[in-house]
Amino acid sequence: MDVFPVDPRDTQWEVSHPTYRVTFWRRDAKNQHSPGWVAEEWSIKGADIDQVLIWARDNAQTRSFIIYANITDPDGPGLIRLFGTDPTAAT
Amino acid sequence: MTTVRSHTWITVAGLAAAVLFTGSVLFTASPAFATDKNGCNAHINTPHFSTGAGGVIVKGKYDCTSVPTTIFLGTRTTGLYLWLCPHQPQPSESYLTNSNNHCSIRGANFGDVHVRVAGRIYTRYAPPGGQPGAHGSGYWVACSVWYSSGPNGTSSDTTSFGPIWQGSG
Repeated sequence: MDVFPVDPRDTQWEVSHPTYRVTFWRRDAKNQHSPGWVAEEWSIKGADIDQVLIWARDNAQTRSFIIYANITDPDGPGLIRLFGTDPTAAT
Repeated sequence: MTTVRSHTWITVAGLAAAVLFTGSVLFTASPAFATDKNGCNAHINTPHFSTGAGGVIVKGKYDCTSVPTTIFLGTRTTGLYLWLCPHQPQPSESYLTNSNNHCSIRGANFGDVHVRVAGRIYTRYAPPGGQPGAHGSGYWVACSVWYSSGPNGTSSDTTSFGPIWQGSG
């Protein structure tokens, strides 16, 4: 982790209340030889990240989860990863 | 983005393989090249079951270092494909497209990727949004055939494979 002071004028836009995307991941227990992944996706509005984290942890059970901010820019709708990892990602 | 398309064309120099699947789609590509002219890469995730999609989907991730660049998935030789095979497949075009192996394409995305920001990851899903997730049981694997065109020219076709998942969805 790199931490350094910054001039705050280096950005041009903000989203005060982003929509969050939470994906829960669990192993597919039906196939013990080659367990795959099952994803359950949720969208959360009207919350701050600490509330989203609490909600995700409360509902994760034994599952892992990943949290994104869901924003739209000139490239279209997209996701900014905030927490967790995608277990299906090879890299 | 479009759905599965019909193609009828002739392979070049005998290098490309083609197969007819679930109707009328041909799939082909030339061998992968180590470095793309525009610094583009594709990483294909493992197929998985998505409750939101209601079936099996896979995500392809694309990025480039030189911009603006377009990664073409929508030409007659390119795309992001989700395959289902009855037996453990080899991650090769020749295996998937060999009709004796009975693999079939269960989803395809032909949406070109317009890379505007260097280093940003651009994503495509197969099947694409708006289509239901795929169903079936066996060995799932995805591959993308793509090429880039950008500041450093136009590259040749590259084929990128993801990991195999044995399961049903």
